[in-house]
Amino acid sequence: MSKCYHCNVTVLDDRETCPLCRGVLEMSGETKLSYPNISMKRRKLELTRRLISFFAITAIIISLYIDYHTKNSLDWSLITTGGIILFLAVFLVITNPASGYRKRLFVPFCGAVIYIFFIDFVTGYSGWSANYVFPGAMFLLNFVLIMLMIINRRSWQSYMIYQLAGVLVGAIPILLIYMGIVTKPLLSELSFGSSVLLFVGTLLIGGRAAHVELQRRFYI
Amino acid sequence: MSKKYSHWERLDNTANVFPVIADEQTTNTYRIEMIMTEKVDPGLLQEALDMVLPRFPGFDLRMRSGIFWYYMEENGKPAPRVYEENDYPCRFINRNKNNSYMFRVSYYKSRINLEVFHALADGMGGFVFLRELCYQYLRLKHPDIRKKMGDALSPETSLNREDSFKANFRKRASSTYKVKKAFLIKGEKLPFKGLGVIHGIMSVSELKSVCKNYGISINEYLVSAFVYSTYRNFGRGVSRRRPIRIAVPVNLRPFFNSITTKNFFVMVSAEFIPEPEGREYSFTEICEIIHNSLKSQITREHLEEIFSYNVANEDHLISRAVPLPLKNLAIKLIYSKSALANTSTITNVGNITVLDEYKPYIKMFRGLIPVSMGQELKTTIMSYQDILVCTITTSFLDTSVPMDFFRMITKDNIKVEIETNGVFE
Repeated sequence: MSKCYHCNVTVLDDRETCPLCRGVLEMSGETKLSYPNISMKRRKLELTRRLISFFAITAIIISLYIDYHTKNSLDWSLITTGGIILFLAVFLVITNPASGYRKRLFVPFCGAVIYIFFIDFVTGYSGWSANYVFPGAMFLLNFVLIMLMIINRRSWQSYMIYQLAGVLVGAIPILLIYMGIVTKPLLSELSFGSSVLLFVGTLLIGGRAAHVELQRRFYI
Repeated sequence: MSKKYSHWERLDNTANVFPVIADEQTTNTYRIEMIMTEKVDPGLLQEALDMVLPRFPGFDLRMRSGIFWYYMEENGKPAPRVYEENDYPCRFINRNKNNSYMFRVSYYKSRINLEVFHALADGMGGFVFLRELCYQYLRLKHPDIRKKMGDALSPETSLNREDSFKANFRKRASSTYKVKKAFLIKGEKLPFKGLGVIHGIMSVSELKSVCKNYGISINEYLVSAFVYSTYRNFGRGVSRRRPIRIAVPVNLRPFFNSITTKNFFVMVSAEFIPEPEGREYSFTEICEIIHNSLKSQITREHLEEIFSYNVANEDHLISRAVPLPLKNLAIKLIYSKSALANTSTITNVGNITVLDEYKPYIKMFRGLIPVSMGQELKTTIMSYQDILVCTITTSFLDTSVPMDFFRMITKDNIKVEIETNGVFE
């Protein structure tokens, strides 16, 4: 331990200056490190994230520049920009120590769907994203939910709220059919139907456990 | 799960706020540390946690989002893995990690740490769990104790999960919260969103003797020392419009005969307004102001008024029927106003007791609370036997307020030992 004569305290840390006033300490006994050194670990992770962000922004600027100067308009570079932004978002979420598995699944999934829509718009909007990609994403979501219920069967009922969300989101293509945006309605209708069937099936087959789960979720 | 349908429970009145406002900056995760006399054996600590957790239904929980409210239900997964401490204290607990538990156990050298998300339990509730965990750990480490004590929970432990706010709510009351902005301490932050920790270790008997001379309690003395050091460093910014206000959590259990392990506390605020502005105050004058401010608020009637207002709001049909996303927006707005109404928080967990059989192996207890919006310097007080530890947690690089705080204490001839987490270079 060491003594700070400015603060009149005994300092137990292993250091040369007082942590309160930064005055020089008089060493008089054993000192100790009672906490691990965090700064170095944090520094490395933060540096990596900042470097990747910098390279991503540089790549975006370079691709926009080359595209504009070769064609006098922005074309393919918008697609690469969208891809780089998607990569960066996924990278930052995955390398964030506080992110849970849901955020790490949800962000790449939604990001990929939005990116595919974006490609369709940039390439002149022929409607294939609304006709095929969105319903395909809903099928994939329902498949993932079924797999999760099987893997995590001890709390299968906890996925019912996501099935319900899937029904609500799956109704969006039905709305787009009425608005004339979706021109090939079959896949959209099938994906909405599969979301509804999944929820209703879970409710009926799940029995009392499913009802109890919904009671808790809707408790007012 | 032995039962067909897992147990579930609503969050208590205070806990409804925490999942809404908690993020990496405002983690609402507090820590209690137990310092042993010997190095921690991680294998035995894990075994102890695996044995104790199933006996604590109040900790064997996970949080879920309903359409109108958050709620907790039985977790049932294997206990979280104990690990060697490798990050700043009081980090955010993600409810989709850590086997969905809302607490974590770590160790470093001879110290065992329990970090708890505040929605699960307050300091008293967290401490009860840590104490049983350490009892079990010591029984595994020292078979002679196990032979004598057995593996049952100790009789001083409570597993009660009553929502004592609801149980003691009588009638609607008007709001007693201060919402006017307080003076807020500002300064250069530690790098990498770090959290600085400064423990001030002192003798309870020396403190008691000094406090007797001032005619105030230990809590009032330490709050006064904090106000004094803040005013010394930032006096020009303190005024009637921006007073120094210290939030002091009050444990309601003794007032209402409750033994719940859920949250059961309210916040009162000790206020200091310089009259006239810029005037010099002696420490004795500040002690008197703080003493009078706290004394008038810590009565059973006033404390009941405070939580009755909150419970009445929660029970109102309109607020119940609002979907959770909208409710969260409203809670965030209200919270951001009330968070800026206090300069800092000083929480006193009180005197910790352990059974005699375990005393030879336990050196000290310490508590840490995380910083939050507008309050980036907070204090936790905890005592065990004759050792009182006053822990300051801060996101500031500048230590002028802690420096004057501890200098004020040493001026009264109280010996102080300082230990930090090494971030103040």
